[in-house]
Amino acid sequence: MPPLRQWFHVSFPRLLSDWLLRFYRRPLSFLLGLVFIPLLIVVVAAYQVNARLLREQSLHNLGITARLAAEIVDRTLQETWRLEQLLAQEGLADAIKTRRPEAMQRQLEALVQLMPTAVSAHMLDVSGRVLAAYPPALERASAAEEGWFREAREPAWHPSVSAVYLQDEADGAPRPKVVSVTCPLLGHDDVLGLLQVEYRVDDVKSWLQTVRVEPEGFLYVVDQQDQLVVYPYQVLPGTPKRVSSWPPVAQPVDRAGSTLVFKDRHQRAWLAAVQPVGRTRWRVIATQPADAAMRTVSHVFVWLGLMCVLLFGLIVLISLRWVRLHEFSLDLLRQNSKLLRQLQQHRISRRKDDGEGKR
Amino acid sequence: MNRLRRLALWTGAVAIILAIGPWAWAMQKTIRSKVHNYEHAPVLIRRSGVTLIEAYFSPTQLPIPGGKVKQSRVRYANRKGITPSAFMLKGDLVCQNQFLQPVQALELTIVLLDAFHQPILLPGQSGPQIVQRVMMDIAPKQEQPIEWEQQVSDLDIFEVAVVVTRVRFADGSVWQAPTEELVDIF
Repeated sequence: MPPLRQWFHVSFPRLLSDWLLRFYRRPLSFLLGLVFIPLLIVVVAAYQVNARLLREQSLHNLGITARLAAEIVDRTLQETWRLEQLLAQEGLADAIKTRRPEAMQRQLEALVQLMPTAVSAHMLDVSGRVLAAYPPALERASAAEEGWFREAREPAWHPSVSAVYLQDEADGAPRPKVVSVTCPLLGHDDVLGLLQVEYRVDDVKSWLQTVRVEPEGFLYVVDQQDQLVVYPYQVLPGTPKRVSSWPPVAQPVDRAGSTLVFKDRHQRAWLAAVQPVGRTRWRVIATQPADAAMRTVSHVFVWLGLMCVLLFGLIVLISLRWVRLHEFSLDLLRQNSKLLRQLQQHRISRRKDDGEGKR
Repeated sequence: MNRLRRLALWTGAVAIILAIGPWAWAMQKTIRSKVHNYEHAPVLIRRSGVTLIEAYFSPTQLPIPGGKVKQSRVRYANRKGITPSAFMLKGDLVCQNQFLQPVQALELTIVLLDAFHQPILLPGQSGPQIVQRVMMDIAPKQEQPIEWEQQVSDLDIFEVAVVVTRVRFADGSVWQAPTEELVDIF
């Protein structure tokens, strides 16, 4: 017989039986070694695997939510551009060509009234000079230095969405956060001017209200300058907050979006997915606390752990009965052997006595 | 027997008092309070508690314009519906002066939020913030309890956010909170 086969068929069963016999004599080690530790390993391993799978699934779901929200924002912006362009080409183009500010203002007024979410509208020439504005109180001489104007002009005239900013002061009223949606007015072979319409960012919030991240998650939007456009947990209003240091905002993102796990300043773990909004360089971020996402698996494993503890307790109880039975059978064996010995001694002494009697 | 009867009478009286308690006393409930401290703020809010209290105008006092009307926490059964109740938000907080300059006064900005984290607008207010000015000396590095009160009409207040937005020091200088918006969670 080859040595390996011999070891497998002869030595190994002997070793195993010796080991089992040793364990068998120590009930505590036997239970710990053969029941509790393997059970614990199985539960912990199953938890780790499930937690990892659920985390990946949650990140995937967050990615889909962020993509959906980004799509909603992008489509709504596209529609806004189209509508602006349509309304502008209808009457504004003629008014610009003939340089009639009153006609332009009337057109802008009609445009603002037609679009209930619009706050104000400006018509500018290609150098940034304001040709007309509605409401007139917001009229300014030039907008050449404004960020949104440069955004629309560079690298070539194109429809654009600005970074978020506070609306110009009017009548001492609280200044809402607004964004500029700009749209160049095209002539036959040149650009006639730029139409700029300001919208309250509260409207962006309303676009996203149908998208939920459950449980305990939320969506927020940041602009090209890493400022908060929409954030559901605003306490006090003010100038837009720059959040470049927040991990989901700091992370570079490509067109397909990205996911990440990070810890906040309270050391709470969060899952997040980042998705860019079309060509605007805005980003939608869907985020959720990791413990909330893992709640289902934690809940299941708490119950599983309890069941394991109960099972272990049951095994301990049965084993204790078994140990007692084992001790009882050992006692019985001991007594039997003692009786056997006594019987043998008794027989020997009787034989001796019989022999002496015969003699 | 006498002792048993007395015990039964006492038990009955206590049961009646406990039973009518919720109808006899005005409503009071604790509201969740969240503290927000700006980075590098000279005064930090350490603890904050807010209670919504229902109070009735005292039935024995005629309201005089400009005069302070006494309020009572007792709900009089015979005057039900005659004297309307008012709701007060009562806040207690502990502030700590972080600077070496004594503080003379501070301005608290309070935001009432509903269960969906939307600000609640009070009638007559232009924005969702309530501003409370507290004239109080706080020695350097010392803590000081502060109380504030605000009459409210909306009972759907779920959470109250409290922020220190301005501080006046003994030397006349004033610290103002940054103009940047303040956000929660992160």
